[in-house]
Amino acid sequence: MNAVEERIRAAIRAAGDTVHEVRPLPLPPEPGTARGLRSGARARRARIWRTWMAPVAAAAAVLAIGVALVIVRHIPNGGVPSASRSAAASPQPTASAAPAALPRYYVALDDTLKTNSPWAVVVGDTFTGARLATVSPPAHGTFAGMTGAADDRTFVLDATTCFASAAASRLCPRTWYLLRLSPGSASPARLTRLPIPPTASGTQVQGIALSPDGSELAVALQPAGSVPESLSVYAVATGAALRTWTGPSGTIADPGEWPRADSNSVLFWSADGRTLSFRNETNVRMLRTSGPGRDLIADSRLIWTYDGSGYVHGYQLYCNNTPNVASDGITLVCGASGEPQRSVRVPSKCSAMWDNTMGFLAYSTAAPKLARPLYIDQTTCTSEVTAEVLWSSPSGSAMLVWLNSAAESDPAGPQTNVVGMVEGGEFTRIPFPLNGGAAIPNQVAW
Amino acid sequence: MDTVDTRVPGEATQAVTALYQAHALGLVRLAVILLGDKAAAEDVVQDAFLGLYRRWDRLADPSSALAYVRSSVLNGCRTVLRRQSRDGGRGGLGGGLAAAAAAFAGPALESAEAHALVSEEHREVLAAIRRLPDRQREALVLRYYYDMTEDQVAEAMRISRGTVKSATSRAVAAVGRMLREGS
Repeated sequence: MNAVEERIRAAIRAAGDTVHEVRPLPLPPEPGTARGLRSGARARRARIWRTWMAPVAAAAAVLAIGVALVIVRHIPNGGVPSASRSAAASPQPTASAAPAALPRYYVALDDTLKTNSPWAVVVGDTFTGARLATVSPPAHGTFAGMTGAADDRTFVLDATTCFASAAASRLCPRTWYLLRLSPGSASPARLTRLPIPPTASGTQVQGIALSPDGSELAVALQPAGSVPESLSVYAVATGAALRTWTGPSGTIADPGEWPRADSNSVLFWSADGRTLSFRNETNVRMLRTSGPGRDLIADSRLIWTYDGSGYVHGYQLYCNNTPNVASDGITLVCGASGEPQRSVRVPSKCSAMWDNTMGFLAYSTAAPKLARPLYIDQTTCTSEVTAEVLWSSPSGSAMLVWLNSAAESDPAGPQTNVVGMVEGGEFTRIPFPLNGGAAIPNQVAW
Repeated sequence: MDTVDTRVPGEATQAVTALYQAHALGLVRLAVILLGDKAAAEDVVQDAFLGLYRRWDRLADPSSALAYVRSSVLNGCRTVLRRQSRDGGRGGLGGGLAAAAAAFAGPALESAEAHALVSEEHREVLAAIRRLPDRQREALVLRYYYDMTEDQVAEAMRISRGTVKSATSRAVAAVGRMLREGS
């Protein structure tokens, strides 16, 4: 704990300790009248109905996977260019019905609710939810992370032999593998070991990113002890380290505690491979990969900070989830949550306490201010929300995202937990397997 | 016969009363830290428990009641802070650090004894915390007052662990920056 944290802890405890008693709670008479009893009976019936309906709902969910991409919300956003609705309109999603801008195949860790056994990866179809292949981890190991190239067929995976605990696994050596997809062929997924050197024991992988052409792998590492962290670019074919930059610890975001999934959301290549952006908890910086120097700070430039909020449809939104630098190197997209703008009265069906919203915003790294809203959900009525970008198109106009929230109508109930695409101001759910509700970021790559 | 008056107190009364007795003090402390005002903190906590009481028969899982109340308290604190800011009162969010610290030191703590318990340095830190965005402020308080793990904070705030981690670290960095700028 650093000095600021110590001061924070001391101050909030001092403030909390000023309260020694609270006044009694004056409860009104409990609704026990005929009206109240009817209400209770209705609630019990509702619970019975929910129990009975659960398998039906599950079956319906399975059917939905095979039916179509379903538009769950449409919030028009002024200024957002209209995009093709072909995916939403098609009753039978097929490759031809899928939006051309979105990648068709993904690689994801399988069944991440298993906490003490190895993880395989699954290869899935974005638009149908079909599982094309399951790739077993190397012997005595588990897959720990994945990153994809722009061709939607080439992925690099890392694996480790540690899976006893999330904390231990983060510091275990990683070995590197190439996964090539050939959908429709006899072997749709082929795994081969890469010559990239394994990471050292005690070193944490801060982030990985495969270049758009699949030829280079960027790896950010934080060695144990007071050692600078590093960002290296390796040739996938030979394993040779092509470039390495170093910087103080904290220059690149700690991957957090997503269980055993190495982060694929802190490093971002431009489409031409000439720049590599990286983020930490407060800002995003960009390196020229062919530029001089080996210093992560001195040889990069600041392109964005978290400080600003944006005002959209009467809501003040903070870009407070993982920002992604699109491969045009200019657009930055992020998940955002917000509250009503204080000076604007916004008609809302939510009670004030739950009048929060979420969405996705685009910024320009050339002028670090809000460029445009990509999707805003004004009807959420949620408690806290998480909106994360999982993949973005080169210009940020199309994204695959994860939304997680709790509804005002049942704040203590199940959380809404969906993966979908955002395009043209619309969110369209996709039939992505949610591993029982496990957190999604870093556990999937497109 | 008035069925309301003669009715034996039922499940909701007993459960909510027990929950209040067990957790109200801690939740008021949480709200005081977030709001700097004990009366407002007590109002928020009582509103949260009354909301739970009204919704009791709609709660699918009674064991989640505390989580519901805690979420309601966090939301209620946000509403109070928005109202204070909109009404121009307290100045914590819109004003500078000194103004916010002064606001926290004013009606925030109800007695001279309480005032004495919170030093000038603590008030400055608390004022900086109150200037943070909602999510960062709440993550910080849950983490450092309750000593909650990131998992527990994530559950209480209904956000992901990764978001808790980033919100907390950004909050610590921002508070450090504000304290440096204010010194």
